[in-house]
This record gives sequence, C-alpha cells and structure tokens, in this order.
Amino acid sequence: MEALLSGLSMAINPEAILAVIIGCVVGIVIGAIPGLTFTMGIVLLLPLTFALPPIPAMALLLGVYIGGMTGGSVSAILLGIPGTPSAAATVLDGHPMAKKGQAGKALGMAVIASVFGGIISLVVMMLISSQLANLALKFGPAEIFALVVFGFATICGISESSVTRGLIAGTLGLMVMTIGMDPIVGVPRMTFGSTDLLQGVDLVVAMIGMFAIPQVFRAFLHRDEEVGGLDTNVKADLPTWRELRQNFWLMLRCALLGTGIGAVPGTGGPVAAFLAYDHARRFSKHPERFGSGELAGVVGPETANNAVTGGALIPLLSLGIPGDPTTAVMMGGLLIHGLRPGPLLFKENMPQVYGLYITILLANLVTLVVQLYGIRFFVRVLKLPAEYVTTAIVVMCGVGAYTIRNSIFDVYVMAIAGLFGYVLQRLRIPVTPVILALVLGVTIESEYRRALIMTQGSHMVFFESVVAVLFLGLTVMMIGFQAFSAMRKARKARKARMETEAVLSD
Amino acid sequence: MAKRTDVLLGLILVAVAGGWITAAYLTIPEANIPGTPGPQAFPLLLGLALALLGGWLAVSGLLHRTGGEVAAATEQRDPGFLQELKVVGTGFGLLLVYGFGMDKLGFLLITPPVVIVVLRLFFRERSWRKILANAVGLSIGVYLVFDVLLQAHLPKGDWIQLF
Repeated sequence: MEALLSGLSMAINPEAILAVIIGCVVGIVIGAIPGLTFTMGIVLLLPLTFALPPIPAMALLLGVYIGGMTGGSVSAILLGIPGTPSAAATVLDGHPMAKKGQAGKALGMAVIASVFGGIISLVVMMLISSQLANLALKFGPAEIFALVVFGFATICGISESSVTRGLIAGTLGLMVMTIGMDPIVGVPRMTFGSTDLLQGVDLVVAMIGMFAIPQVFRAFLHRDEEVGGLDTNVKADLPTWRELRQNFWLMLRCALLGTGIGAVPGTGGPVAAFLAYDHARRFSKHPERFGSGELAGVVGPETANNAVTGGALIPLLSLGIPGDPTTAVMMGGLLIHGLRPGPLLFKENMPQVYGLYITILLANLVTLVVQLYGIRFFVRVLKLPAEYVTTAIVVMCGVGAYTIRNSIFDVYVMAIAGLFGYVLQRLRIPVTPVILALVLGVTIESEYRRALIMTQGSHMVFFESVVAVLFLGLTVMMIGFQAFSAMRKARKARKARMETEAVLSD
Repeated sequence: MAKRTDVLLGLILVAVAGGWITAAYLTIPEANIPGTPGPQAFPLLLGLALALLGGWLAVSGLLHRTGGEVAAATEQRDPGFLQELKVVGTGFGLLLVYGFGMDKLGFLLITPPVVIVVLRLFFRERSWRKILANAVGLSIGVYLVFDVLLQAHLPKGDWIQLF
C-alpha cells in the first residue's frame, strides 16, 4: 500500500502531469505525420528528460509512445497514408469512411478504441509483470543468457528482408557493442588508443543517429514530394452508445490479441493491427463490407495496435528484454534515470513501477481528451512543410547527441551512426537488430562469461538447466524454421521463374 | 545471373570480418580468469560469425538465378545513384561540420549557418525571410529550452565564447 501511495505521489504532481500532456501532444503530432516515427520522437526527446526526475521523464516518453501510436490513425483516415506502420490496417476502412464523409466518426471511434486497447493492456501488464519478474528472480546467469539470446535471436530472425540479413545486423550490432571497456576484467577493446572510445558507443547517440538521420537523408532526396488532398475542416465525433455496444466485444478481443502480440519480441503494432483487422472481418456479420468503409475495420486495428504498448512493456519491465525498437529506446530512458528493467525492478523499485502504471493510465486518458478536442490543430500540422520539420530534426540530433555526455565526439558518432543506418537500410539490412544488440549485447556476453566463471569454464552449465535448454532450443528451432521457410519460398520462386521461361521460349 | 549486390556485400562483410578478427587478436590484451573466455573471445567469435554470414550471403547470391532480361534490367545502376551519393555524402559532411563548429564556435554561432545551408542547399528554399526566421528562431528556441530551461549547457566554443 505504501509503495502504491508513493507511486501515486510520483505520478500525480504538476511536473509529471505536464510531462504527460506534452508527451501526448508531441506523440500525436509525430504519429500523425507520415514519415516520422514516434520511436524517433522518443529518441530526440530523451536528452530533454535528463533534468527531470525519473517518473516525469518516463511520463514524457510514455506520452509520446501512446500518443504516437494513436496519432497514426489521423493521416491513415484523412489521407489514406498511415502516419505510423501500426496504422497501415486502419487505412483499409478508415480512408473509405473519410471519402464517404464519415471522417469525424472514424477519427472519434479510432481514439476510443485506441484508449480502450491501451487500458486493457495496462491491466494485463499489471497482473502479469510482477509474476513474471518473481519467476525470473530464480534465474541464474545461464538462464538469463539463454532467455536474452532467445529474445534477441527472435528479432534477428523475424526480419522483413531475410534471416541472413537479420543475423548480419545482429552481429554488426554486437561488434559495435564490444567497443570500449570489457565488462568483466575492464581492459580496453577495439579502442585503438582513443580515450573517447573507452566509454564505448553510447546507446542513445547510436539510436539518434540510426533512427533520425536516415529520415533526414530521405527528406533531402525526396524534397519535391508533397502530401495533398487534405480537408482541414474536420472534427472527431464521439461514437453513439449503440455503436459502442456493437463493437465492445470486438474491442475486448482485439485488446487481448494486441497485448499478446506486443509481449512477443519481434512483432509489434503492424502485426497486431493486421491480425485484428482480419479477425474483425471474419467475425463480422457483413464481411463483404470491409474495405469500403466499415466501422469495425477501424475499431479492430486501432484497439490492437494500442494494446501492443502495454504488451511490449511486459517483457521489458519484468525481464529487461525490449521487444521492439521503441521499447529498446524506453529501456535506454529507464537506464539513464537509474531504473534497471528486469526482475530486480519489482523488488527494489516497486513505488516507481506503480508510478509507471499510473503514468500509462494518465497518458491514455490525456490522449483521449487531446485527440478528441485537438483534432483540428493536428490536422493542420499535417500541412507543415517537410523542410522546416527536417531542419529542426537536424538541430535536435546535434544537440541531443551532445547533451548525453557533453561530448562533441558523440556528435561525430551520431553522424557516423546515421550514415551507417542509412547504408544498412539501402542494403535491406534491418536496423532494429543493431539497436537491440547495443541494448542486450552486454547482458549476453556478461552472463555467458559469468556462467562459465561460476563453473570454472564448463559449458555443461547451459545444458544442466531446464530453462536454459528450453530457450536455447527454441532459439535454434526458431532460426532453423525461419531459414527453412525462406529456402522453401526461394525454391518456389525459382520454380515459377523456370516455368515462365519455359513458356516464353516456346 | 547472380545477385550482384548480395555477392559484393557478402565479400565486403568477409573482408570487414577479417580486419576485425586481426584487430581483435592484435590489440585486445589477454586478461582472463584461467579456464574461462577472456576479453578477446567475444570479438573473435563475432568476427567469425560475420565472416560466415557474409560468405553465406555471397554464395547464395551466386546461386541465385534470375531471367536474363529481367536480371540485366535490375542489375543496371540506378540512374539516381550518383545523385543519392552526392546528397547523402553532403548531408553527412554537413553533420560533421556541425559537430566541429559546435566545438570551436559554439552552438549559437554554428546553428544558424547550418540551418541556412539545409534550407537553401538541400530544400532550395528561395525566401530569405523564411530562411533567416528559421535560422534565428530555431537556434534561439533550442538554446532557451536546453541551456536556459533545462540547464543542459550547450557548447560555447573554444575559439569564440559568445556567452
């Protein structure tokens, strides 16, 4: 009870409430603008939080996360362009609704569904996280190593381009992680005598570079593209009670679906949204209406993608494993403010955990109010010229990178990370595993070596633990399955090509 | 016809891995607890993993076959490649200059010129009123938020200390 009251006082005070409001507004704006991601927004705002206490700092970042996830529906509905990847499924029925003159209804229902999904996932997170953390407290170095390798390999393996490219990305990220001081014996590694590199590559600096700078380069290259056809005279209409009743069970099912998907590393908003859309269509009395402006086609994906926010925080808070780039950035934020995610967080910082729960609830409620009544303003933001937004991003990147450690060297690292991130994207090598390697790599190496130190170098420690064997086995199976699927797909494509060539040559 | 990009990328990764392994072997001191992996172990393992993955990428690129005409078309250099190289290279250079300028001149002196270059050179903005308003407004705005409000202390510069 004492911890709850303490958490309440950390979250319900003018500083924290203001941080949530600012975070939600910034998040909705960033989420609404196609091409900007709320992950990038969180990364750029992270340096702003250094002067804040932990809970208001996380309130700002969580506000951006939740607001951003909701804000993606604005351009999805009005422009037919998803503001965030998670809003891609919302386009399918949201934009047709706008074309039929029902934009206000779609926007209003989208925000109600989003907040409902966010709150349900918060409840699930509160129920499950502490249980999971208690279980994880019994883990030793071998179990932690196996668990983190499983989470990391899952993300590398589930890569939009190929398993090989995903693993290459993970390996490159781990290599960058080793630069600096060895975590066990403290000798310099790959620093080549540079004192600046002794501290290694800072996670936040790398994230600013790899998420924001490629976006800047793309804006430079596509400066002539404009977004048009936007009606700025629109407001969000609250759904009727009948519409809410009709969609209540759909919202509940999609909220649970989104929470479950969010808890699995490597998935996230887009997967949850499309699965929810498909579910909504299958269980609808009128599936033939989907795609031409059916309200349930907006309800399903918007509930699920916001439910992902709570689900993704479950493995982050209880196990210290971020499941996607956004929670990886959140982890960076927690670490900077002295809160180490993982089982010990629930043992040693329970008031702060309650503070986070209350903050998430507040962020959902603030998003509801801000988006319902501020929609006219957000719609105008969509017309902001890209050049001014990009210029501001360039300045924020420079400042953000510098203020982490008051180091100009970090500004250079940010630029190099940005170029590296851009080149990787052009080569269809995913960036997410690189970032996750920087987050999880230290744990992977340290726990591996600690396990061996405890057993005087015997690798049997990884095979004597049921949990370790389970997770290592799942890792091998998962990568093997992904590789097998990719090979089968390539074989089918080759066969189809050969058949086409045979037909053409006849 | 092989997937040329994958072959080239694979070979580059193998070369990078070779350099990494050499550097790790020669520069990381041995300081391990007997019987357990030392500080060299992980970097060497990662170098080996990258070499294997790069090699596999190159081999699978060589084994990949496409239709002749289609392959010829897709293997041609993208006509915008040189333009992309120029823009990205210049953008990267500008970021390095921004860092150098922050160090030597300070945030308030280097930021306006950088904003002007971005708007004029990259976005071809013609209105000098808008350019200057952005340059000054953004610089002062960010300075007030970070340095004054949040006490984050932006760089003052080694050569000229404006404030």
